[in-house]
Amino acid sequence: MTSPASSSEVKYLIESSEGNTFDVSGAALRQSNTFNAMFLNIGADGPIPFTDYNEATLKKVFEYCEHSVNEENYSGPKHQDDLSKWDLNFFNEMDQKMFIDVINASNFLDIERLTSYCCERIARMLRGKNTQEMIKVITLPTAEELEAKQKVEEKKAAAAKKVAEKAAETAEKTETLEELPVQQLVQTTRNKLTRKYLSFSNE
Amino acid sequence: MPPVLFLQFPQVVLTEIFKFIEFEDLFPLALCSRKSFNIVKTYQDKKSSLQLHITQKYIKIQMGYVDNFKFFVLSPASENSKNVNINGNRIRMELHKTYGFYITYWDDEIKGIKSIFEYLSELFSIKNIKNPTEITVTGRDTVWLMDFIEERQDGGNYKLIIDNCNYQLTNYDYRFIIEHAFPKIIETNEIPAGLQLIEFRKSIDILIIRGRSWIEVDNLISLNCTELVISPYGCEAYIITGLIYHWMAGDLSKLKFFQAPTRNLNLARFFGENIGSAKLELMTEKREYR
Repeated sequence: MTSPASSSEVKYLIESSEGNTFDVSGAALRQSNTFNAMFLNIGADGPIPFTDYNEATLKKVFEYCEHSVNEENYSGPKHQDDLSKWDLNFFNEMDQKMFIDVINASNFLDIERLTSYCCERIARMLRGKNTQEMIKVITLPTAEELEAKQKVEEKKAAAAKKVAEKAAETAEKTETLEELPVQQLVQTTRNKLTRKYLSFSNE
Repeated sequence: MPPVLFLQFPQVVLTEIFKFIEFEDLFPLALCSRKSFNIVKTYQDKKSSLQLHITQKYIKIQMGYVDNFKFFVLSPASENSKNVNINGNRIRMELHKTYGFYITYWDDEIKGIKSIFEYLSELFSIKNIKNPTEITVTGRDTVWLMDFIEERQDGGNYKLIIDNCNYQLTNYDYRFIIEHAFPKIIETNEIPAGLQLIEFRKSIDILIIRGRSWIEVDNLISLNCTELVISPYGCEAYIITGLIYHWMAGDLSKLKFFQAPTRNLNLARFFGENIGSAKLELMTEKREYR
């Protein structure tokens, strides 16, 4: 069921990338500025398509929104030390992929509070670390890996160049054939056949 | 929490993340890779209040009164575990756990100072910050810093600190420095006897004299700076009063701010007798002159 949001009782259907739908309360959904800008006043006739994100991610995002419905209005980022046990569990339950998806979805839906918490969490992961430890946190390739990657890319580029050169050569040959006048082309073909025929008969 | 590919986040998210990243974490993060360097350079927004300080042995970055980064440059270069790349030089860098400064190892210390400066300049857009970079000259072996900074800062927008605590600078060296440097601010712990301040013939904005110096009133009058600061042990009271007389008479046309010790000086009496048409106003921290 979908309808213009006027009361917190209203439920909206959300469609995920898998095509699945699930419902979210109007109060939770209104924390998304994207939703407010797009659907709040005009309502939605069917499921609201957030098809760039999978069901698990969207459910996680709206789980947060449902939980923070009763919290006071957002007034800037809150320090991680102020997070409740529920908030901490919410973040700790996520694996890397889910965490990244939640940040991206939250960013798209423009849910300030969640985006802000997630970003502060990332900043905290880097706090006080040295370069080597940071590389591990942000999974950057090491210098050796980069070198190996560059070598593979160079090999690929060389192979692609070879293929391109071959293709260009073939195209050139084809072009030369195509450029020949019809009679000459017939003659060339005949000559080839004749040579083939002669070599065959000699054997 | 497992690793996060945070360099792949969209612009808005990166901007938000950098709001929370501590200034001290920016440098190690920039060292992770060229991409992270560019991201730190683009998204960090704490440039305006920075100040860079260069000496023969180290470079430090300050925000307010806090040393945020301090890089000591040592030689020779360590052959083992060259773990960072600074401005195209693969070197060994260690973090001193107690004091929080970085120790870097180079074959050539001067090259080390220059490379770190270039790296930090690019990372924090040093050219755009309002605080002039400070250099400390302590002897003949550090005079190269003046050339280097003038070349890098496009002229004299820097502060030259002449530190002769170890008595390595002769009068000749002082004269050489004064004649060849073009800083906007000079801070010195002494003015050697016989050195005429008129030799600061370039237009310096501020002169700060920290220690006891052999200055005469005539010598000070020849100055052409906007601000003059003399420390408590800088000179005798009669020199200060003499200077103020001349200043009020219009001899130091460019001077707008004068700070000097007044322990042996009865200011109320002095100004009571000599105030004339001068107007007294309460001094504020912010000084802007037209």
